[in-house]
Amino acid sequence: MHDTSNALSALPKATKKKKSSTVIEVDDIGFSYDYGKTETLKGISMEVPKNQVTALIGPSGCGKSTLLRCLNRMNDLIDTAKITRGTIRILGQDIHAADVDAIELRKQVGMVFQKYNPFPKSIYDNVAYGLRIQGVKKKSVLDEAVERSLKSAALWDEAKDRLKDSALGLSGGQQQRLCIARTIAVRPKVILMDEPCSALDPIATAKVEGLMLELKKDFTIVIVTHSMQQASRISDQTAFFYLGELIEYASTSKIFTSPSVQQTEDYISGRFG
Amino acid sequence: MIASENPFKAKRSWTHLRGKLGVGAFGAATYFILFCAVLIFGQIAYKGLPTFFKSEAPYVNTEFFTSNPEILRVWHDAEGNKFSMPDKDFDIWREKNPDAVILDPHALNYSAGGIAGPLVGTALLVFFCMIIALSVGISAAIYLSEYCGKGRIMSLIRLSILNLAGVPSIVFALFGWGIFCHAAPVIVDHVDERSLFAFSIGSSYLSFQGWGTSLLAGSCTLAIMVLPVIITACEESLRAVPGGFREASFALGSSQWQTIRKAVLPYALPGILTATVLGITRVAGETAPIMLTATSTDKTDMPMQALQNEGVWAFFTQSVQALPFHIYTLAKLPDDPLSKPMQNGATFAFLLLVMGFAFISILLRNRVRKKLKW
Amino acid sequence: MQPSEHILTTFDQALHELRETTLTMAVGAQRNLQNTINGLLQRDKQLCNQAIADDEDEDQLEILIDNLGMQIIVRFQPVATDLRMVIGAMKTSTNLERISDQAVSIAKRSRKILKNEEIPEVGRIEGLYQVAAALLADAITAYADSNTELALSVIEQQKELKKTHKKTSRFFSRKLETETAHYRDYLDLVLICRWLDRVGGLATNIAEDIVFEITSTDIRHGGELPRELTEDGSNSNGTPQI
Repeated sequence: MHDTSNALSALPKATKKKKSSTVIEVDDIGFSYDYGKTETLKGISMEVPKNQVTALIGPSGCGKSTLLRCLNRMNDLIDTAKITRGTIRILGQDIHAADVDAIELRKQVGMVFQKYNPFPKSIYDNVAYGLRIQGVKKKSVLDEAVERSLKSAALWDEAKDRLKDSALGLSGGQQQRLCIARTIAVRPKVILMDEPCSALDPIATAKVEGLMLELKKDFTIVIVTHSMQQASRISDQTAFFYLGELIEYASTSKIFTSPSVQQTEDYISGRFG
Repeated sequence: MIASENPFKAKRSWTHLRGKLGVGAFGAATYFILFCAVLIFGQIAYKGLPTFFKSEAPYVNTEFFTSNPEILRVWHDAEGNKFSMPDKDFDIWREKNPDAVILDPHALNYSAGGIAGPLVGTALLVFFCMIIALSVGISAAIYLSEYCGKGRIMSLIRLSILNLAGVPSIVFALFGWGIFCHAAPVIVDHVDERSLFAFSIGSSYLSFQGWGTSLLAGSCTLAIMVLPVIITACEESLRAVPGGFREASFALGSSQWQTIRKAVLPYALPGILTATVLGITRVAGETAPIMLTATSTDKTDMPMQALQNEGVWAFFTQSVQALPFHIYTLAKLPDDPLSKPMQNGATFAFLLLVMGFAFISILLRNRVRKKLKW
Repeated sequence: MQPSEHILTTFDQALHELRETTLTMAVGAQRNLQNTINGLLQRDKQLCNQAIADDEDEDQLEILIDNLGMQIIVRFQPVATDLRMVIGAMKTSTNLERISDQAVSIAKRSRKILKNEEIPEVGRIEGLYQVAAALLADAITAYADSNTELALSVIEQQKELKKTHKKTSRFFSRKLETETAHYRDYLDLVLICRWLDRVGGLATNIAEDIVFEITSTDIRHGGELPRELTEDGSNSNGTPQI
C-alpha cells in the first residue's frame, strides 16, 4: 500500500473529517434524458472534497457518467435533457442559476474523455487551444502555459522537440496525456475524467494513474471508472451507483475492505453485473 | 508436426463461384461506364481538337480563344472553288481585291472568330454564382447542422431544400427572370414604368425594377439552382467531423461559434470543396437559366471593358455571352460543314473549361485534406 | 455468509476448496492433539507415534492452503469479504500447524514418560486438556459456521484456560520439589501443561481471525469489540465516512 496515511485514517479513531473543504455539493439531484418522463438520476446527494480523487463506480447505465456530465453542464448540449430536481453547487455556486454562464463554468471544470480526442493540429496548438479561446494571444504567455501543462502531464520530455508536429503522431497513451495537458492548461479547479484509461494499454494506464495522483495536489479530480482495481488504486473516496441511485459513498479503503451495503459488496466482489 | 492433409483447403462451392461472378459483374459495369465516358470525351476531343490548332506557327489557334464570334463569309469564285473568310478579313480582302469574282455569297453566323466572349462570360457566371452559393450555402449548412435541432419543422425545411434540387431548370429560369431581372432593387434616378414599387432615398429612388438581363441576375439564378447540392453536401461534411472535436472544444469552455470556427469548419473544408466541385459541374452547363437572365448573343466588348469604362455596377448589370448558350446557338444554325469546326471547337473548349474548374477544386481539396487529416 | 454466488463459478469453487481444506486441517490438528493426550493417558505409544506421523500431513496442508490462497488473490483479486476470508484461511492454517506442532512436542515427551513407570498424577492432565480441547473445538466450529458470538466466547474461555493451566502446572511443580524420584517425568508434565496452554492461545488467535473475517474489526491486542452491524460504517447519503 503506497498511502498508509489513508489506511490509518480509515480507523474510527481519526478525526480528519471535513477539514478539507468541499468543492462540489450535489443535493438531491434528479436528471432525465427525455424531458422529465423517466429519471436517469433519482435524487443523488454527495459532496466531493477538495484536492482528492473521487471515483464513481457502478454497472453500465447506472448514471455515473450522466452525473459527471451534469457537473460541467455538458448535458446542456442534449436537447431533451432536463434537471428534474435538486441543485449542484460548485465552489458554493448553484451551477444552474440564471446568471451562470455554462461556458465560464466549463473553464473552471474541465473534462477528459474516454476516447482521447486531440485536435488534428500540432501539439502546441492543442495545448494552447483553451487559452486561445479565452483570447490569450501573447506568445510568451502561451509558451509558458504549454510548457507548464506538458510538464504537469508528464509529457514534456517526449514532446518538447516536436511541439509543431501533429498531435496524431503520438501514441494512444501520449494522446490521452496530451488531452489532460490541454485540459489543465486553462487551470480549472476541477477535472472530470470519464473512463480515461479504458482505451489504453496497461503501461499507459499506469502512467496516467500516476499522473492523477500527482495532479490531485493542485486539482480536485472526479473519475468515472469501470475498473474497480483502478478505483481502489487511485481514489480517496468511492461512490457506488446502481440504476440511478447512490448506493454507498465512503472512503475507498472502507468500500473495498468492508462495505456497509450488501449491494456494494456484491458488485465489487463480482456477484452480479 | 506437419499435417498429412491440408485442413484449410479451398473448397469449390457455388458460393465461391457466385462471389467471383459478382466481382466480375461489378467490374464489368465500372469498365462499361468508363468505356462510355472515354467514347464520349474521345469523340468530342477528336472533333474539337483540330480547331485548337492550325498549320502555321505558333500552331495553337490563339484567335479561337481570344476573339469573339464572327460571321463567316462563304462564296465561290468562277472556277468553283469555295472560299471562306471571317467577316472583318473579308472586308479587308474586298478592298484589296475589288475585281475578284464573288458568286453565291452567304454568311454563316458565329462560324468564324473564336469563343473568347462566351468563355469569359461563362467563367464569370460560374465564379460569381459559386461565391453567392457558397456564402449562402455554407451558412445555411452550418445553421442546419450545428444550431438547430432535429424537430419536425427542421425536417420539413431540409425536405424543402432537397426538393429544390428536383425543380426543372426552366422553372428556375423563369423564377430568376421574374425576380432578378424584373423585381430586384436598384438605385436609379428615374423610376421605370414596370417597377414593382419605389421609394425615394435622398435624390434618387430605390426602385424594385430588376437588374435586367445581367451577370448578376444570371449568377443569382444559378446560385439558387445549385444551393440544394451545396447545402446538402456541406451539411454532410460538417456532420462527418467527429463529435469528439466539438465535445473537447466545449469542455474547454468555448462558445458554439468558436467551436464551429476552430474545431469543426477547418476539418469540413475538404468536404466543402467537394461540394464546390459538384456545384460547378452542375451549374456550368446550364443553358435555360442563363438564357433568360444573363445572356445576349451580340456583344462586341469583353465584360472587363465595362469594368474599366463604366464602373462596378455596370459591370454587374451587363449581359454576357455564355458558352453553353453559344453552343446551343451554333447547334441551331443550318447544317453547313463550314460551321462544324466552330461547333466542335466550342464544345470541346466547354468540356475543358468545366473539367478545369473541377480539377482546380480537386487539387485544392487534396492539398487541404493532407494538411488537416485526422 | 454470502447468499449469492459469484458470476465466475471458478471463483466460488476456489473459495470453497480453500475453506474445505482449512477445515480438514483443523480437524486433523484436533485429532492429533486428541491422539497425543490419549496416548499419554492410556499409556499407548502407538497413538503418540500416530500423532507425530500425522503432523506431516498437517504441514503439507499448510503449504497447500497458502498456495490456494495466493492463487485466489492473483487470479481473482478478491475484495471485502472474499479477501478477508482468504487472508483468514491463510492465517488460520499457520495457527493450526503450530497446534499440531504442540501435539508433536507433547507426543515426544509422552513417549519419554511412558518409558518410565506409571505416575498416578498423570490423570490431572486430562482436566487441562479438556478445557483446551473445548476451546479448539469451539474455534473450529465458529470457523465452520462463521459464528461471531462463539468466536468471542472462545476468547472469554481462554481466561478459564489460563486459570486451569496455572493450577495444574503449580501442582506438578510442587510435585517436582517434593518427589525427586520421578523428577524428569514431572518436568515433562509441566512442559506438557505449557504446551496445552499454547494450544489454547493459538485457538484464541483463530477466534480473533474469525471475528475479523466476519466483521472486519481487528480485536487483537486490545482492539474494540465490533459494534452492531446496523451502526457500522458509512451511510449512503452525504459525506464520505472516513
